[in-house]
Amino acid sequence: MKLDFILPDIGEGIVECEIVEWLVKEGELINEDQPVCDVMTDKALVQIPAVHSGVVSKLYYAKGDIAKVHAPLFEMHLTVDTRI
Amino acid sequence: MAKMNMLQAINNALDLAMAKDDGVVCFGEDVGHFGGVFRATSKLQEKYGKARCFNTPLTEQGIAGFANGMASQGMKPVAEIQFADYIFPAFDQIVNETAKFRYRSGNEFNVGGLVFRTPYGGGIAGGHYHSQSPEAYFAHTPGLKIVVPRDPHQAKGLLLAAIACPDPVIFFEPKKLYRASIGEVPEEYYELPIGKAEVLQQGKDVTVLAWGAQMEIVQKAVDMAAEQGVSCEVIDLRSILPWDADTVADSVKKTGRLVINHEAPLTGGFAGEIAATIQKMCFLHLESPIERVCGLDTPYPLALEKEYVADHLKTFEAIMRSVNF
Amino acid sequence: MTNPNNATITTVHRAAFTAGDALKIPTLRILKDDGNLYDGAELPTLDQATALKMYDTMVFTRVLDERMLAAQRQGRISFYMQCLGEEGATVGSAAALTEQDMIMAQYREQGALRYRGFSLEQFMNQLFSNELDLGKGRQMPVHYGSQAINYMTISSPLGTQIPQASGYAYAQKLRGLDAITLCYFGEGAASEGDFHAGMNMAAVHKAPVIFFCRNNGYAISTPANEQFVGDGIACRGVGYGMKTLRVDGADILAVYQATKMAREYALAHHEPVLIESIAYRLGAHSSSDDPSGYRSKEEEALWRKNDPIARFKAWLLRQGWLDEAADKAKTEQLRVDILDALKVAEKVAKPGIEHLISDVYAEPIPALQQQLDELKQHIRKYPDAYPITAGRFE
Repeated sequence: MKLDFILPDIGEGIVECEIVEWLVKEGELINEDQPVCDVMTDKALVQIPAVHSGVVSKLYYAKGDIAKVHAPLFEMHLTVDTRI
Repeated sequence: MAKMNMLQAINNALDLAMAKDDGVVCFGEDVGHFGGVFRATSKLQEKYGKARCFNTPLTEQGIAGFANGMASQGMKPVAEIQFADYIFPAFDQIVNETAKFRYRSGNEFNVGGLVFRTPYGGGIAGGHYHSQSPEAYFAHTPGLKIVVPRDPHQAKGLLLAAIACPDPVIFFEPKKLYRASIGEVPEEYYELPIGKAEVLQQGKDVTVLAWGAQMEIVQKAVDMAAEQGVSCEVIDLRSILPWDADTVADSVKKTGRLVINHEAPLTGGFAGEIAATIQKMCFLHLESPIERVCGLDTPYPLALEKEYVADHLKTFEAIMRSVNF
Repeated sequence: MTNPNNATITTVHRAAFTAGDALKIPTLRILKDDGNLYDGAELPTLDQATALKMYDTMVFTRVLDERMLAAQRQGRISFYMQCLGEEGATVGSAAALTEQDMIMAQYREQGALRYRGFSLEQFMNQLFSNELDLGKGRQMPVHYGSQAINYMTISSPLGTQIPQASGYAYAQKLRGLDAITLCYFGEGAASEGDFHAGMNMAAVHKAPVIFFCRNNGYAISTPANEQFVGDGIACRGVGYGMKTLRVDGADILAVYQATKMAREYALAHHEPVLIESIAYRLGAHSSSDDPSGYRSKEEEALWRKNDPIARFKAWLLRQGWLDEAADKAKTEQLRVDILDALKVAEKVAKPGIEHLISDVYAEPIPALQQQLDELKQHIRKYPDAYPITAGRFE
């Protein structure tokens, strides 16, 4: 099952953040909780962990891009209950 | 029945409440042995002891916070703020804590037993800081109830109701009437309803609405209007929050005209809320614009107090403008 | 000779300032980093069960904090506050109370809440603002409260609980209860006027309250040396005429002992006591904050060594009350349990629409009922715009 991860409002009303570093690659099999990326808001440098286990199928932004809050950040193919 | 002035009626109410329920505790600046700067708590310390009627240090935010704490434990604190002009240090405790205590906790906790009593209003050469009517700031705060009596009989019944009420109440006492207003008051315990206005006089041409010390003022204006053949329906709002829109609307549907009088400044004053609601409820019944007779948009002056206040002559003019529109 | 000024008058004949260094307030510490006792330290009376409960509570909050910050980063909850580095301060003090004592906290005392018995499910329900939240989904995450366990509901305005604690404790005294109130606040909140008002009133009215200041070095980004200039917060207790103690907040046994002593005194004398706990806020102020903007990684690394959990664990191992392998397994299981509970709470429905107007007053006033009826009509017309409540009411 394909699922977009929507970039949440990480800090009380931010609208966008900069992609500082992707910690995973497209095609990579990752675990629930694994750090996916570092983003920078005007308040904080924040690391975002994966909600599900699965394969990262699409990264919607490149490093250095400004990502929009409430918009898809990356897409995953979910694996059911898999932990590496 | 006994003849009492408003202070005596308030003192009597506190006495009865404290006798009835040992959870009722009175405190504030100078309310202990001294009995309060207006003597509202006179003899209560003598009768009920220092633990239940006492002076606090000079800190309204402390008084309000302490009262919140006591009420959350289940007691019924009656906290006095010496003058309504000094209620502002307590604003955070009242607006952010008292008003929201039950709601924010999901009803796990509440301060329903709490009453703040405070002398308000002008007409006593009090100037900026002994004359204010701050009810509008608090009317804007869901979770509070606000009550204003017009005479001793109302004061006793409404204060007892406020103490018994399961919600926190701010009880604004018109200081101008403390000694000046005298009437027959039942000596036993009784409550008057919170949230209900009272029609004092029926009439057919124009509804005249006010509260507290202004009832006497508007009555003078209404009597002058009667001499001109104008029949006024007079309403005492009694509760600012919740306010009895139905009683006022029923009246205005009958008369088609409304004049509202309050001491507080015009802009942002509670008459604006009343006017907006009544024009919505009674739009097609209105024969003339709703009139507001209020204090000027200035701090409350000393030398020019007469010019400032919403007096009977200004009210009379508003009534006549309304019927002659 | 009467004393109308309520001051101790010692007359001198040459002018000289009195300065803060005249007041020396020591810091109580019992445990060394390696879990050994200091010479001359007095071990508080503590049975194995209580000690292990204290330890388990600290581990619980540490693991919960880790999980819930990650959940906030994932957008599953909107907000979270960790208590890293201060687990000992809150658990140690809560453990010294009885169940009848009231706790009035600020916002970083989940250790005390957990010690009282707030369940994992209850934590999650509040954090997810669902219909099982005791607070009915009205406040932001971490604004916990429970009447059943005598933990007053948290409110965001800082310091407001301080004079309230004075009043609550005064009522406990009037009612003749065998109970006191413990009031937590940070060193930043101690700058609020409510601190001054509440402390003074507790002393004047003789209210049995323990004022517990968590001095953790920071109020968001403001370091303590920009918050005040006196000797910590402890010096103020003396100023209000109160018995005062300063304690190492990362030493759970010291905190426990100090609070026990304070409680005994407060109850016996109906007098307030001030305890200042010295610790370090290892985490950010909240999920909205990033400390790299105002303090160094070196400072954080230094204070990370001051871990209340590690220090107490060392002592428990020395006592033979803890087994390393069993502890590790227990912690792993806890991680699993917490994640499972998160996933359950995440799916529970939000509160129903009637709770929009309930509890504003004991009974809704007519105007509120009217507003709700109009709102329901509106939602029936635009259900897609109000997915949480559309279709869930009559």
